[in-house]
Amino acid sequence: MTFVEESAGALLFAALSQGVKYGREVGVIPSIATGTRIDTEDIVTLVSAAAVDKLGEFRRVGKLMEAGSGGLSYSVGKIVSKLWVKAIAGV
Amino acid sequence: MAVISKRDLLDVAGGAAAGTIDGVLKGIFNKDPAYWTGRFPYISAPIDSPLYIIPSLDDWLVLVGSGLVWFAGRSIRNADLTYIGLKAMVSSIGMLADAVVERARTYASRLAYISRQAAKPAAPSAPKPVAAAPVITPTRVSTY
Repeated sequence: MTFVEESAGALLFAALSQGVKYGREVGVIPSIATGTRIDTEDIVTLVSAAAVDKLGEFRRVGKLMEAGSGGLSYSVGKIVSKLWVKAIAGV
Repeated sequence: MAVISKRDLLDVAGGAAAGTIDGVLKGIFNKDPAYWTGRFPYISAPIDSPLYIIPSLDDWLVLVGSGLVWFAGRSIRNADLTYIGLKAMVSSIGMLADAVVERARTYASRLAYISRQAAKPAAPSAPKPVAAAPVITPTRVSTY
């Protein structure tokens, strides 16, 4: 079922995002603070989700494609959310 | 095969839809956190409770809003809108998971702080203040 697999992909990439965020907080991963709340974890999640999506598409692996697609939606949603917070509240 | 297909654009549109709902709600809260704390829709369990790890109501409203987009697409039989709604729901599920992890970390760090405070040795007691001398007021003493 597509929805379940895409949601699982979103959860996987949420875990990746939290892991990268923790690494950034303890100083293992560098920060690329942008002036908004968008930071390393958002960019890493977006790029890796897009890469997984395209890999699944080119190799014709349905599950990989769906997981990447869910992760892409999740990471775009998070970035757009942070941009809206910056636009409305200025933080 | 195009590098960016229509499916990719719809994925991004779904995520942007969920992100817009979430961002507007969070932006309103962050504009005046003191006013909005505890008010609808920013309702959650108190930080002392283990139920604090459940995301607040505004995070669930993102899922509801995304579901409404999906339902609208189904109702008017628009495949693209249905797909965008589905992607927005997927995105909001990811953001809910994010909120659970963030809140669990906050709760755990608070518990750790409380246990550190409880384990701290008691500070040496301060010297007792010298009792003030009793005030003697002259009274008339009866001689009878």
